[in-house]
Amino acid sequence: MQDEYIKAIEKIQMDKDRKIEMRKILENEMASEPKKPAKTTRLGTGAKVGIAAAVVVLSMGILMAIPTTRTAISASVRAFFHMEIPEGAEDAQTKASEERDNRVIPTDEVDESVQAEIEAVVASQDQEEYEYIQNVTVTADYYADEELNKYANYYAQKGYNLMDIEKDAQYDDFLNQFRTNEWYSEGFFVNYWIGDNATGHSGQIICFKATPEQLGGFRKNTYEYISYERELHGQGEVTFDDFWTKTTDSDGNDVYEASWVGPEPEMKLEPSDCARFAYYTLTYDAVNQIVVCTVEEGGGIG
Amino acid sequence: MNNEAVLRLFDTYADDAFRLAYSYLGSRPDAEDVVQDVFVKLIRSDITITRGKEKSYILTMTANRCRDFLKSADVVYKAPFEDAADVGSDIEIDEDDTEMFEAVSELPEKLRVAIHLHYYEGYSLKEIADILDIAPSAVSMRLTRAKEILKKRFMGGSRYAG
Repeated sequence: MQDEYIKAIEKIQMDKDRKIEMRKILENEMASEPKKPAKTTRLGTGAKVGIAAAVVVLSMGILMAIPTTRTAISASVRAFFHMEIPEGAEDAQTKASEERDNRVIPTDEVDESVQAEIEAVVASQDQEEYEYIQNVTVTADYYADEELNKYANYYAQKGYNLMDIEKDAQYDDFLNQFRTNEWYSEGFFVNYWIGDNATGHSGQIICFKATPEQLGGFRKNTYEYISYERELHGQGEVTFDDFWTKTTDSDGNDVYEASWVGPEPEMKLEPSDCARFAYYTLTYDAVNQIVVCTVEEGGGIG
Repeated sequence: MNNEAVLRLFDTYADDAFRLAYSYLGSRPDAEDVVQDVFVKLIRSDITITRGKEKSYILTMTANRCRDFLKSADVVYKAPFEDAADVGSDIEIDEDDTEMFEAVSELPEKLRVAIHLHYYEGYSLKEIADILDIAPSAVSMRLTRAKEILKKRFMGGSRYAG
């Protein structure tokens, strides 16, 4: 990858005539412009990463969302029990934390300087993840809306970290480029992992307050993302109306479903390099204006 | 810095600054304007640059100017490969190289700038962090995400859901 990129970018140069013209502009500038006071260089003032990986892992325990007993699960919440996290799944954040804890960094056979660099990269990635979880995780009574809190309480009691949507939005995310339509007022998501590392897959349950317009925004954003995936993999276009199918559940809630299955990769370097898929099941409680959406995605057949 | 020194820096590093600006902006004319702004600013200011740090200093100025430009333009550019390769150049680029360059060009701006500085300029995470004025961990994250996207594009790899 590096060689190909370098070969291509090296051939991209400033237009020769433009460069000559620019040099003349600079010479003219020198002839006319008096010097201004010195400015301070910003070099050498980069941010420092100071927290050791061990501290990160030890601190993880306090970050778990603490369930409360302040709210009982109402009948309206029970209507969503088909949004249950799959049997055998585990919280993806906790799993990742445990794996970081048990990780062995294979640095024995490499040069000392390389070893230091590897450890620095690993520590910085851990630090990034630690800060992300610390900043995004909320407790089960975080939300002002009581109905939303009931859902938060439910998933927290099952041992899942509650990740606030608004806080998460402050971080770089590949999906952000597709979230161009307003889609929520407040809410959270939980991440789960089911199966082993080689053949398992990830999933999310997203609970959020949304007006009917915001619900439309969420569906449009999801459609945009899947359209991107389809184009990326050379699949044909699907219309928005064909992408989402709508039904009504026994409680009278609108239920939307959508799915996408990608092609098998031509090359498999890792067990996880398998056909990608995404299944969405979304239920909208119009009375309380709450969306509960499950997203199963990843690959598990490689 | 005297005027002759600025011209020497221009002759030596203008193309490097241009490539970085192009990575940010994806537009040849805008990238050229940024390079001009950077060197005019060098002339107008009485800056002393530590020996050996000239290139990284110029790239830092370029990165800052690009960010200002993007803020003022309030627009995110995509980098069409044809624009960079064809204008003012009679160089042919291999199809494989084109595909990789296109893939990098289509990354979000923050990711492609990190890729450019790391893989083309060869800067370490710390050096890139200094140039972009962000934490080394953020650089690491951007590189990881960029590689994930590129891997997914070329090999169909999977992405973490979150």
